[in-house]
Amino acid sequence: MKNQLFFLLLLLVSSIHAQELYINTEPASNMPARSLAIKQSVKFFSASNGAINNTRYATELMLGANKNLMLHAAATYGTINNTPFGLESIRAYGKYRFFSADGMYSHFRMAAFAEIAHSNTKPMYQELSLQGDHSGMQAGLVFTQLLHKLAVSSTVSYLSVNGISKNHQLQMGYSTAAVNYSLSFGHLIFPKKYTSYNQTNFNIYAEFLGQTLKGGQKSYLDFTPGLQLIFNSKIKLNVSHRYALHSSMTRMAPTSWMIGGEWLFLNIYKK
Amino acid sequence: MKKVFVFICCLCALTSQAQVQKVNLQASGLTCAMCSKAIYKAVTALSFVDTVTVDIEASTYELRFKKEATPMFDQIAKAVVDAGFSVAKLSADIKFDKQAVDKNGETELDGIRYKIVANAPGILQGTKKMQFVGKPYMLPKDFKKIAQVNTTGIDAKTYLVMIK
Repeated sequence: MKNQLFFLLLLLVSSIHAQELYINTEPASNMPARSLAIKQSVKFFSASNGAINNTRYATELMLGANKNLMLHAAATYGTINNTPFGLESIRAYGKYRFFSADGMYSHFRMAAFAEIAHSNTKPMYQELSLQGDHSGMQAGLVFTQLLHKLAVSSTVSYLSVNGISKNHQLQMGYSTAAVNYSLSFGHLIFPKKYTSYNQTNFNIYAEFLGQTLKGGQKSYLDFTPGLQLIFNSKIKLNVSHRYALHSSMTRMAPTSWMIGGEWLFLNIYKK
Repeated sequence: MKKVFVFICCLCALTSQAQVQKVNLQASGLTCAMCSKAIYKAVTALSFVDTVTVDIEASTYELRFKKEATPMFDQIAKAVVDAGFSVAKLSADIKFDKQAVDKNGETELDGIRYKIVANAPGILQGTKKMQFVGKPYMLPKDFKKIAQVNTTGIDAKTYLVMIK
């Protein structure tokens, strides 16, 4: 395990081009102004015996409102916790880039984000998430450094659940707030040299996602390696696997797989 | 008669030729093709732009303009910024025909005012490469290298340029 991580980090540090089109997190950079992206994904959660026990679909619309502001609207649906297939949650997200220092092949950017979610599901676990499981709010900061050979992005946020989710967590004696953090790396494998927008890009990602519940006793740290293909500089195909390096809380599943597509439409409306 | 007609046609072709022949743009803050395409699409969408030739690896774009259209250099820089990136370098190949430059280094061509910030000649002749000077058109480190330009009394619409 340690060797795998070391190898991956070495690969990232020695990369030629860095990528920050992360699969599981958002970079501080935004989409271009007046562009729209549609993201469709499905996540398979596996029980400890390896059997898939939950399937969650997510559809997300992302809009570059202007050069600094990006807005998302998302819905999750599926068969979660043995419920019939149906709508599970809705979510709105906004991110504002407030700092940008661009070099020739580098940049450092900072952004603040906030999101609000409403979920129909009855939460059963200590883990807190606005990606379908709980109703609540989250706000945080994103820092992204692109350094030609390395793209590193980090997020720190505070999440608080509310409504039925909060009541339910309290009934179970669980925490209702958490600090989330992430550290993501991205690396372009192909093409070695860009000659056209039609070249298929192949990127690999390594993302660490962590959560510490309020009170500080319960936490997890997940590792999510991922692969990404980009066709015609327009369509992304993402695959990622998530598993816990450490966990001291009850969760829906110790591991999950995610596969998704994303379509980008530039200049969807005039100024 | 035919010769006269051909001559008139040639004359028309010459006079309608744009003075700004092309613009070379280098964008900064990106290393991905998807990012480069966003810039490409943003500059292509500008009403006065005819064609854009791109070198993705070098992050450079060559813009040529529609006949009779006046290129707006500030709009080109804004398109790059709206796409989420910055301009590292912007230069224009401009054709001059015995163009007078005043004692302040200022001149006007096709309704566009330029101020040459260093070593301004009295007359501009032939095709010159003008590099745009200012924060919206340069990398911060390149901008710092340039000696302070006295901009008092200069119209906000006047472009500061260096002859390369």
